[in-house]
Amino acid sequence: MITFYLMAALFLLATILLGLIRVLRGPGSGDRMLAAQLFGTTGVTILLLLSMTLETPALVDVALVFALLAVVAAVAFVRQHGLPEPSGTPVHQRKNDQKTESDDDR
Amino acid sequence: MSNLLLVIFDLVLLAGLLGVAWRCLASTDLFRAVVLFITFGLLLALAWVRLEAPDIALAEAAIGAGITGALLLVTLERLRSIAVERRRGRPDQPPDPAGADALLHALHDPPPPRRTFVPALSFALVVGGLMVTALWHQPDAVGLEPVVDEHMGVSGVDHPITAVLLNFRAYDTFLELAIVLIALLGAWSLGRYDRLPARPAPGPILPGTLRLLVPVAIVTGVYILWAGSHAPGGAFQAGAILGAAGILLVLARPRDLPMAPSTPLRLGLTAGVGLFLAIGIVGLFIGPGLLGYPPEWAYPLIIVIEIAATLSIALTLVALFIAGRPAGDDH
Amino acid sequence: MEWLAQQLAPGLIYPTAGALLFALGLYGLIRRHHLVLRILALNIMGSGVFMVLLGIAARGEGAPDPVAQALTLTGIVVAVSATAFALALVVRLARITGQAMMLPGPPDDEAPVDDISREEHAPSAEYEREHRE
Repeated sequence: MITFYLMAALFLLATILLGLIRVLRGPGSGDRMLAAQLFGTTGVTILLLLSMTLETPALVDVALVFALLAVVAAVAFVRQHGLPEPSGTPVHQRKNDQKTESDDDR
Repeated sequence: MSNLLLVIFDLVLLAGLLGVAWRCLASTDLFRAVVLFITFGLLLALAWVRLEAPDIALAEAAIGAGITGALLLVTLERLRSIAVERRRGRPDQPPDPAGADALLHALHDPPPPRRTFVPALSFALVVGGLMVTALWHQPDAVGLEPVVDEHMGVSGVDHPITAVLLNFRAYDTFLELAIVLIALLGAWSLGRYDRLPARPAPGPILPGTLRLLVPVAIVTGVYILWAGSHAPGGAFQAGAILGAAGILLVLARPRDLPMAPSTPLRLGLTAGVGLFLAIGIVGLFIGPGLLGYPPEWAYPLIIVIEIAATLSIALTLVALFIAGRPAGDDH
Repeated sequence: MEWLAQQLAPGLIYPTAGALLFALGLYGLIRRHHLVLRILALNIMGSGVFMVLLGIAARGEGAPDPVAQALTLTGIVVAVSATAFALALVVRLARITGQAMMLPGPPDDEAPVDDISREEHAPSAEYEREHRE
């Protein structure tokens, strides 16, 4: 069983490395951020599998904290970027001339 | 078999870490660099797990996933909005001496010039090579584990790292709290709080998520603080989790941020350092020495210090995230 | 196989990777100019140091050295607050100068022509063409 868990963890680690392609190539910032969020979920699973194989129950706490706080970066991203952009625009040109001053987010 | 798999896991993980760090530092697009850095933090937490350091993994999870990512993203947005403002040429500002083109650099860093390649590479290689050689020839040492183990009885807690942090090497923790406070004072000295740049995010998802997550994060933080006396956890990790919860709250309404009243805020920020120092000085007179506790009082004192330190660290992290003095206390 | 697994014990490969991370961060710190990237490079260097510390602590039999772990924990919290302070400084610098990079001084005609860094900060012609539209 331990071997199976380890192989699963290794497989998940490989999927993280595969997902890095999306982070590296983009094209939009949403794609990159979403890939990073997916890594967070995969990381939680790897932590749980490792907690079984290494017999360290404390790792469940680490996984809990990860699952809980991975969303902070996502919330920050949503706050900074708002609605999705049409893809293909270079980042530095986006929304440069429409800085929102409206307070309609309440 | 499982040993071999673990070795493969280590090698893949380390290759991933080095690769992510390399691509992060080679990015011309700063946003990409930040996302890669968030990924780097995740892989780092896995590495700490493999090094039998669940405490560090907890701190990395809370800080790397929760705080650093949000901090970097908000900084990028601040830089961009500064660039936009300057491009528009505000009348109360002198015209930008470097011209509008310089603003393109706000979120982009052009690839470095070729001529720094050889010196930088050789310097880094020499330093790295020296470190690797030294590490390979370093003999295995027992470390301080037996010493800590021997004195666990008088420490007042059951978790060796908490014992080291809050009893055996309380100096470190005390000065670390002071450094965190000084970093905040530095950030405050730069000017007053200005509004976080934020775009509207219409729809019920964001408020709903926050309403669900913030209470859970607070409960988790308190749980981690309580767990610290006998299992991985403690003041730093709990402070980081509560700080991340505070950052979520700040992000919920960045426009009309309700500012904490000045005096309680300042008391909360200094509670950790202040209480630690007060207890430490009391220890000088009636205990074994400065920052030492009488063994029978160690547990309650450590708990009190930890609660205060958690509060201070959480508040300081949120204040550092906001950056800038609270508005309306110029007197 | 078992011999190889022993050679590649975490106590050896993790400190090695930590040293490599440190060197990589140093390289990035020297070569990149944007201050946010430099802060990231410093953080990566710091992570390399933490990895060396924890890797050495995990060597040998038995539980790892709690003192090294406690030191690392302290280091992580100090690193994050220093990062936050540094980022606040970068934002302040950008607000004053319009640049998030280290400039050698106020732009003036007396600056020596062969000042490398000033030359680099002028956006190159290709870069402008690429990012204009």
